[in-house]
Amino acid sequence: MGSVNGGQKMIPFDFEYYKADTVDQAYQIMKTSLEENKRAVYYAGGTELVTNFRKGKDHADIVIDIKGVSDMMAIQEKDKQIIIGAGVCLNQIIETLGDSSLSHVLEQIADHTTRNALSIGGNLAGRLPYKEAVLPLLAVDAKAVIQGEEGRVEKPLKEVFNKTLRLKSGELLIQLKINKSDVSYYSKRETEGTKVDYPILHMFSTWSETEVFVGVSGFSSLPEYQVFDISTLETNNVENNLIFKAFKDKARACHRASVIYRQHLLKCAIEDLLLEWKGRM
Amino acid sequence: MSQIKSDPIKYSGYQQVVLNINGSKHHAVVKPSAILLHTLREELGLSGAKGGCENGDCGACTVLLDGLPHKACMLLTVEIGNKEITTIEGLNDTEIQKAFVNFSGFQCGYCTSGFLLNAHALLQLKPHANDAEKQNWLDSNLCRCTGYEGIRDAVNAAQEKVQEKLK
Repeated sequence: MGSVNGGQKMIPFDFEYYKADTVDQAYQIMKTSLEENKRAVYYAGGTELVTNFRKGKDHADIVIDIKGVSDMMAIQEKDKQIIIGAGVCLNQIIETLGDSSLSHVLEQIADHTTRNALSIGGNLAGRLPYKEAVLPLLAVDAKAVIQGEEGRVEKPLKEVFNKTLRLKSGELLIQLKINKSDVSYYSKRETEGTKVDYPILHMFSTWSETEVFVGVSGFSSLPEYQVFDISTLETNNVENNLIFKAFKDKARACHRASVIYRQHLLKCAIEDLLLEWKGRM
Repeated sequence: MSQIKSDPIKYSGYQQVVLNINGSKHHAVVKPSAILLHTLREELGLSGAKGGCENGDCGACTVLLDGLPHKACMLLTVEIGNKEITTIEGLNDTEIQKAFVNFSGFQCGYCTSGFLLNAHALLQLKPHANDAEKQNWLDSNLCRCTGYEGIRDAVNAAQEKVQEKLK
């Protein structure tokens, strides 16, 4: 429990705060901290870090604020690509991209006020297990621009995201790149009660003429996805459907929902998805 | 920490920060770990922003940063920089205040400052917001007295006044 001042909970430890102006500067501070065996964290929106610091669930000796790094705080269009800085807040992305699969998913995360702070990089790299923003990004084969030992490198997001963002110690997610053209998508998000809550199932799907991408968040302990050959998908009986078979045993139980309830929600979402396809094909 | 090549802004230990709040400059001596909500209330005596869940859920601590609502319980004081902070103490003579009084937009009043600031920002930025947009914004705040009906009536009434002024 954090120390209390006037009835309010404070962060129960001290840290040094740096506001970096460039990616190189942020990475250099991180590298120096690691060499000195200090725990440093990159900081953008702070929605998760400040709360975890106060609750004693996380600790840092050094906090590196990246909000002064222009590359990480802008949304740019270049060569038919949209480049989103990892420090950009969710509301800015929603307003800039307008009607898109990414906006549709982002506007269901947290609440409107929190989305003025919560960054897309924080959603992917944070400790919370939901990471819902990753679903549409993986579906459209987004690229991740990362600062590390070899300088700035661009990799397919699928290469660096496997349930969590797999960055090497000290590496910094700078940007995400997606193609400008959007795709047909289906999204179903279920919570235990109110809309503003963590998902017990968020299923997101996109499809082409040959393949179907299906990703889930909140259903299993961490986000999972799979790509299916569309010709192999049974469309009449959900129980026999490969999507259901692929995910059903990954359902987790928690105080919000049991395994059986999550599986039931998955079945309903797949039924909806199949109807959506039939309507479009 | 060893010297970094080009010097970034650094805060370590107690340090003076200058905050632009409600149109005035305020000085506070804080550590980097200080949270804006606590600085406003404990250091500067601006107790309008309330500590509720202090977890980002309830919205009682809502303040505006450059006109956008933020939850002050999840902000470090040192990260604010030159941004203009608006607290409930700076929200004088606005349509949203009058409407909350006229339409009983509060019961115990604990959540009121958060609702007022959020709704004020909404009506400034989106005076023609539809019901879905208003719901989307106001879902960020909780009223444990469940006085949502009065709050909604107040926001709708204030919106009409704001729209009249724009004509």
